[in-house]
Amino acid sequence: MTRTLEIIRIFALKDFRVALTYRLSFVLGIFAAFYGLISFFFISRVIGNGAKVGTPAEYFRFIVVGVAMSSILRASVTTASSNVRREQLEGTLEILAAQPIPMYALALGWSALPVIEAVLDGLITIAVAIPLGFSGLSPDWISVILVLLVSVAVFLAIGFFGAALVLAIQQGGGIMGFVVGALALVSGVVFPISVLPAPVQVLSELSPLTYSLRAMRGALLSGQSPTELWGSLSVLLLFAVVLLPLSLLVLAGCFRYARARGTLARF
Amino acid sequence: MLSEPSGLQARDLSRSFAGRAVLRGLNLDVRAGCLTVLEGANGAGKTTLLRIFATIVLPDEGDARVDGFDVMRHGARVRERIGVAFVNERSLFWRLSGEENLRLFARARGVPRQASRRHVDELLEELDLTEIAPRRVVDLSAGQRQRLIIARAGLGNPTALLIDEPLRGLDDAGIAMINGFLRRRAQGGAAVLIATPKADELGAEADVMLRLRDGAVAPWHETDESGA
Repeated sequence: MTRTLEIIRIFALKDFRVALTYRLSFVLGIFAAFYGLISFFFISRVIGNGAKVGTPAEYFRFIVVGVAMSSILRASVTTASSNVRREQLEGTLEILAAQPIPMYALALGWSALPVIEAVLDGLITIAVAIPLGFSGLSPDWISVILVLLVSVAVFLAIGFFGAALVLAIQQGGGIMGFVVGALALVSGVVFPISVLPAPVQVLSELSPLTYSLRAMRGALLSGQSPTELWGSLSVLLLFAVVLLPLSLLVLAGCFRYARARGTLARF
Repeated sequence: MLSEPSGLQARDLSRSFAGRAVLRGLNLDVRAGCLTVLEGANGAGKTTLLRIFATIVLPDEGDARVDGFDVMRHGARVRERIGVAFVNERSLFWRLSGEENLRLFARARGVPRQASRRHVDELLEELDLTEIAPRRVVDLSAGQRQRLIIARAGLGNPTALLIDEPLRGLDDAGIAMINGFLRRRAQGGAAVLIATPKADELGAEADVMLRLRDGAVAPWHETDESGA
């Protein structure tokens, strides 16, 4: 456990140091999240009272949580595959594969900094939204942390499948972008699921992001306790318990497949 | 059952790529404390052999072991024991400094934090890299990067060193430094296997010289006498 945490720490630190060498894009990346937020603030102003999303203020509350959680989803799902691809292209994957680093620790190490950044982005998004009219915040922090941890575990598992794809077939980034887009579309990020056609609503119930958003909105905006959120939390936990070990098994299998084919460094 | 519990052993090792046999029933023993030079033409399969010992490529058939641990079944134990340096300067993190690269890999190899500082400093000094170590890899010369890659292979005092073309791009002083570095590792008890297309650069340092030809290993003098 200590060794895994140390591997995560050194890779997060490495990514942070590398990011600092690209100062401009590092700073601009932090501000990029605000564009969407400000756009949605003005969109909320054109929404009339009595709409399916409630009042403009209610819609803005809805969308702020959606934006924050979808950025965490994007970072968690895409980071492992994009890092494997980057290591392939830059030529560092083989030397990492020759180190005594457990595969799951490496996968977590690849994901650590982007996920931490996305969580911080989420907090900044909420902080910036407050002066724009984001009100009614009454968080139950234990619920917030719990939902965040379980959600990230599920999203990372999806990301590990993407990393496995990159190892096996040298591509996967585009597929993971498609997955993120599809999950965001059906899960109620920018509009309630109730406005979707009935067949698509079935897909919504299969998306872990639906339960993350439902639980996070309950925890942040209604101060719901873990017990009150148990319906969504239990589904998320089930996703995590099934997907996380399965994704790591698939990732380990694809590492072995790449070693057997001699394609670890192929791109 | 293999008789040698330490060092590197290969038995009947075969590996093909895209239908082309690169290694064909190769047998090899590299003893602990011995510096072995493996000469072979480009494409002869030297790097493939090193990669198999490094667990980066798995063999199609046969058996490869490091200190008695099979590369197929005990990859993690093998990786704890090896230090590798391949001909690929891109294997360094170019946006980090030389020192940061070594520290990262030292920690990744499980060297404790305090010990890793001293360990890295010693390696940098041994290969005359102390002065340039704070510079980013992107700003180093090819020879400096090559020495950094060799220094990285020494992290954690591995019991087996797998070194591919260590002298490429080095000046005379660099060659002497690397030769000394590898010789000291062998004297310290490590099994050192060096692959090179030009054995004459390393011949004076070698305890054993071998030649890789047609996917198999033969003693240097045998292939030399046969006119290779």
